[in-house]
Amino acid sequence: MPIEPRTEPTLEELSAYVDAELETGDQARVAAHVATCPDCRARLEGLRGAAHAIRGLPMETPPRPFTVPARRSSARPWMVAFGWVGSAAVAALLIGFGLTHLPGAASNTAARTASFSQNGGANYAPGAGAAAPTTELQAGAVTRDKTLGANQVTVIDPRNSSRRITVSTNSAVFPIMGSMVVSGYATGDRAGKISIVLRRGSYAVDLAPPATTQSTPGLAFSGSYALSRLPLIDPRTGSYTLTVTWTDSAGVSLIAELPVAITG
Amino acid sequence: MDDRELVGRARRGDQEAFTQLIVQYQVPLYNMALRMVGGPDDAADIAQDAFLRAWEKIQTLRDAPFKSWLFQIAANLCYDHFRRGRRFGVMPDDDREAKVVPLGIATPDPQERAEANERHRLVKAAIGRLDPEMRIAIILRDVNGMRYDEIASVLRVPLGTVKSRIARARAAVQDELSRHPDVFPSQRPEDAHAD
Repeated sequence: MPIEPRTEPTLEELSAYVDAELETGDQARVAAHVATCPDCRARLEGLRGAAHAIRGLPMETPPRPFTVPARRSSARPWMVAFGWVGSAAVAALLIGFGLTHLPGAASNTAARTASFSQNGGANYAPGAGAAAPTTELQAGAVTRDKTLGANQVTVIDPRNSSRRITVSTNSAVFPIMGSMVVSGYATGDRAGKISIVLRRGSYAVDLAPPATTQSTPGLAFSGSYALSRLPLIDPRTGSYTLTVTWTDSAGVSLIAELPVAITG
Repeated sequence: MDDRELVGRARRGDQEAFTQLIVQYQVPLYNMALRMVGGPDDAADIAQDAFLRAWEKIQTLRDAPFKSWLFQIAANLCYDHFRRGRRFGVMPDDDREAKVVPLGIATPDPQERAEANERHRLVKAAIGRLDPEMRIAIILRDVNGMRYDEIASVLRVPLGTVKSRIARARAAVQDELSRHPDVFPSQRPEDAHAD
């Protein structure tokens, strides 16, 4: 199609032009027109501004992992649904992660991530004093082991299954005057940093970095925390999420989360 | 391993393969639902239900791309959400967004964070005022970054309809945002260029 003068582009054409979704000839025609037409240029900028405003919304982390039944059922849907409801007990694969990213198209330009700030053990206010990581967090397959009273989770880097972090606590329920032991190991990289956050809602406390030991397969860590000494807010009892972040030497993080409860 | 291989394994009952598909699509699918229905719990319910239905119906998926098929399931669940009379919900104004730290960028100061939160609030409100058909088109494009032909496949409408819905949705959002020139100053014309 000739890059000719000028019928004014339609709203649809201007919008599709923003997305480079016009045929090549039409893309050039609209470009030529808006270069000389202030009105259409203003309309185009308005549409582009709306698109950019929406694209600027943060990609958010789901509030819970998504699950499917542990065993594929060949039975009727209601049986599967029942199986799903019961999957917490049946176990299976849970999915979790700490990843957010911008729209997936190649035309989009950057990745961003949800991250907890790490401020060296003091009270944690979301977003305050955060040191932004340098590369994107990785989605990870998560397996959770509730057998024999264990409270354990393993997160696997989907890009490299040898890179994983396993975290466990000595119990899932703690008395407020008790101690919580957090231990685990990260494989695939012996270096890096382990940080632990105990969170309820939007309030969280950074726990002191655990002791770490480098070993052949990776990095082992362990820490013991007297719950009565943590600056939790009242009521101190209730359900919390323990978030353990392993940031390796390349600045890539895997995040493992475990539910824990504190009782009176 | 690409989607086709994973779907092939999942069709043979390989749950681990399906798990990898969940890992791959959970964030974009959840965010599509979140921007459609507004509330994080409703959005998580929709994403969960979509994965569950996809897992159950994976045998029926032949040559169609898994991504389009999955998003189609979720889109239908979003429509069902509104058919049941549920309204667009707005996320509680907590500190959720304060946890989102752009990579490689210094943590914004409280003022900048407050401004960003206000921008996001207004954008979400503008999206929420769109009718669901326009809303999902613009979300699939500007939140999920889908091409127009992918969107047409998800929504099962002609390409021209996709163009029209996205254009009208953007115009409506632009109109809403232009009511807040202090938050959304207009761009300078000389910045014009194709993306």
